[in-house]
Amino acid sequence: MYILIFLVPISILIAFSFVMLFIFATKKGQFDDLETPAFKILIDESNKVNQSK
Amino acid sequence: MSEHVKISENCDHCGELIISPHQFILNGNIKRFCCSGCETVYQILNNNGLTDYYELKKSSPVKSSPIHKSDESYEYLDHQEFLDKYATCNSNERKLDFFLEGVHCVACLWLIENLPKVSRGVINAKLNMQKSIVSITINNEGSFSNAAKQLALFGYKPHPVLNKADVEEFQKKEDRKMLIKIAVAFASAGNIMLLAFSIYSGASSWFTSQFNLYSLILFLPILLYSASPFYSSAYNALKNKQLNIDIPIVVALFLGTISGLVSIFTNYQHIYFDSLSTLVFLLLSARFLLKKSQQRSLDAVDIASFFTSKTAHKWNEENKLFEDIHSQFLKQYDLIKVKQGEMIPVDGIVIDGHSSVNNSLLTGESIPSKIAKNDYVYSGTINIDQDITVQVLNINEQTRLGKILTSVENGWNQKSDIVTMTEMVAKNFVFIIFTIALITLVSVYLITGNIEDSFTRAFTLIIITCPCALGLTTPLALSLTLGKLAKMGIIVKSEKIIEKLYNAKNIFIDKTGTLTNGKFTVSNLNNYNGEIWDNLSLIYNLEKKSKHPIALALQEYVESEFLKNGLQINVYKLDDYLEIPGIGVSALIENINYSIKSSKNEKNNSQTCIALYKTDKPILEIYLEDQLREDSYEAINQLNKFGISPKILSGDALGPVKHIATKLNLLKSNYYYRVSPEDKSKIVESSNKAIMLGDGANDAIALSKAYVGIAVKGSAEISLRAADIYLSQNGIKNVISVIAASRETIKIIKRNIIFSILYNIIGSYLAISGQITPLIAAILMPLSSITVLISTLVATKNFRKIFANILIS
Repeated sequence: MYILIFLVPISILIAFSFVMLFIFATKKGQFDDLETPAFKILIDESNKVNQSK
Repeated sequence: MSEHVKISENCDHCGELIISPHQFILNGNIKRFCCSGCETVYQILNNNGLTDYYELKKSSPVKSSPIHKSDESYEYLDHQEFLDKYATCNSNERKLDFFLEGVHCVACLWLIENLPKVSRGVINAKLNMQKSIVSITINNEGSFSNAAKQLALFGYKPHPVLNKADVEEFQKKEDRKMLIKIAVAFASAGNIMLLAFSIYSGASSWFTSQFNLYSLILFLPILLYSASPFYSSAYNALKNKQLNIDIPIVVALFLGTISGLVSIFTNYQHIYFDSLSTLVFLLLSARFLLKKSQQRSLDAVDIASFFTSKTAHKWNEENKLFEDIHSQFLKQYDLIKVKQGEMIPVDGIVIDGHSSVNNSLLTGESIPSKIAKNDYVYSGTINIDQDITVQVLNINEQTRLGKILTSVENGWNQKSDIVTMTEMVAKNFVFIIFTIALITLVSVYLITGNIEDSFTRAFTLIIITCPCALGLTTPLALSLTLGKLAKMGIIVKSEKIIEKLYNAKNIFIDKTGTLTNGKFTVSNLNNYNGEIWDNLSLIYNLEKKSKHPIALALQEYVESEFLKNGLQINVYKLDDYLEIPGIGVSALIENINYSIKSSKNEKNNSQTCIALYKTDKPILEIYLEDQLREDSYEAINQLNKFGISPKILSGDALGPVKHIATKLNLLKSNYYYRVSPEDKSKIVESSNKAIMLGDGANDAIALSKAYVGIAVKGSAEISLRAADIYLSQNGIKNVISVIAASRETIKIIKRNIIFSILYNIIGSYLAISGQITPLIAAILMPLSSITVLISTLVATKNFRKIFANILIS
């Protein structure tokens, strides 16, 4: 049971690294617009503009 | 053998019913459209290989509207001064944001983001669906005016967002910081909860003290970093000697930390880190959600600024021509040209030209006054007759209109009564709660002698009570509604108006163009004197400058009749031209006075009868018909259901007005005929809580005197001077929508307030009686905020569906 003394700090470290990843993603602007990408999934690849006529 | 060609009833572009089979092009198949606007867009999409647009549109639940051809000029967007102030520049590229009307589905998103394919020089178009704002990047080849014109052509009327470029950047950075604080709070709170769980489940005291220590360490990031917004808010309030809702939270944090530290060092069991960390996390999330929701829509001031005077034609001395610039860049002594039909944007003096101006906004008179060289003209008046050149004397707030309207312009962002009341309650709320907490602390201690219990109860009370619905969601509901209405083309000047619409009792509706189609058709002619073709030519010349529906109908009729018979319309020179809005026109032609106005021949016909008079003797009578709109009957019913009594105000004769009124089941006391603009304003003023529906330019006086003024025709900038609401689409449908939206919003607000009151009462009782722990309180409080917030968001999300259902039922 006393292994917990070792495990808890490790889990805290893992949590910390996840927070760092989140901070990185936020700074890169991935969370700026959460609405528009939801619409974009409705657009298929086949809807690409027809270049050749 | 005849082939049965299946002809679709609906426009191939926008899906609306085709009333007048307007245009069609051959494309292998026959494509039919409701108007030339839709036809044009279809051709553009076809030529650029963008017909997938129609595939995508099928999945959209909302119908789009027919394309309106706009005569707005976007040249001022290319002016260097404008770009320097509002566009961001990056090496060879320039970026500018536009608010777009009419964006509602994925097809719109796809089409707009494909703008680079259609418009040369546009590198990128990125649309934010939530705000309806598109960010356009162009290179040296492109111009914003072309991009704007193209967007307008597709049916998305663009308005440049005039925030300074760095405000947007700043907001973005603030939002990111907030997100990180929430993430840190969540990570800490989650882990502290894990540890706390094991303690609650009965871990032995050795573990307890270890986990308490870990909890303390985990709590530090929250205490020192995540909770900083609360500290700065509380500090600002205290600096101003006021209380706000963040102060109890700071107090709770402070007390909780101290008692936690004491617990650790004295090996006492009870700590509050779990409650506090959860509290901070949930509160930050609620606040962030609130902020993001408010960012979905621009506030009333932003929206209103889109529709104020933009383009001015300034004389450029170097290039020796008039160039279009944004009117805010005008300076004193500049020379500008004000074209016929435009609003005069400044106070100034006429340098060249002679014309007449509509002063109704300033003087309250509907009869235009003549102006010539060296006359003064004032901002807010409309130049009716001919182009004039004006030298600028006063601009913006310095104009006579600006000074008069200062109080009106403050109405741009007038607070509604509900908001003022709730703010007052929120301010006193905190003080009251602290007092009650203190009383609880003292009395429980005196009764039970248990300091820990009394402290816990007071602590819980401070945590659980929250005036959130009052202070936070009421402004949110109002601003969300304003934003949603703006996206539908309904511009509401301030939040107070929504409340007023809820309280309105009467509504005065203009007949022509609102209840009727506004498209007059000539049904009969009676020629009394003179050659009919001469008379028709005279009519054409007299009506050429007017934009009144009757004038337009007459012009069309004369043009088509002459065309049919292969004749040419004579052109006459007009002297002393005068148009009296709603009454008629008159002028001197070859020294004889001719006028066109309502026929004195009152046969009580259901049709409108006007006559051409030669020195006051009628020489030609024309009968015109105007059809009732198909949604008018339903709209009148709906108004009655709302409890708003509908009445008709019209300058037309008794016959046609009575005809329409009977069709709509209106009683005799509920319609007025042959009303002049001055009469209109008197009638509206004397009526109780009356909404006035009318023409922005001609009914300006009545609109400004009404309880709520709604402008349905004309240009936005002119209308919004006098009216509180501007509808960019014709017809009565949108009036019903805006009234329905207001009622819905006020209902939502009342619901939220009741919920908040109940919650606080029940919560306080539970806290004082010691039935809940601080942890539960810490969860319940943000939960209540989020509940109210989400219910507001969900309710306003369904506005479109509500409108559709109202009109069907």
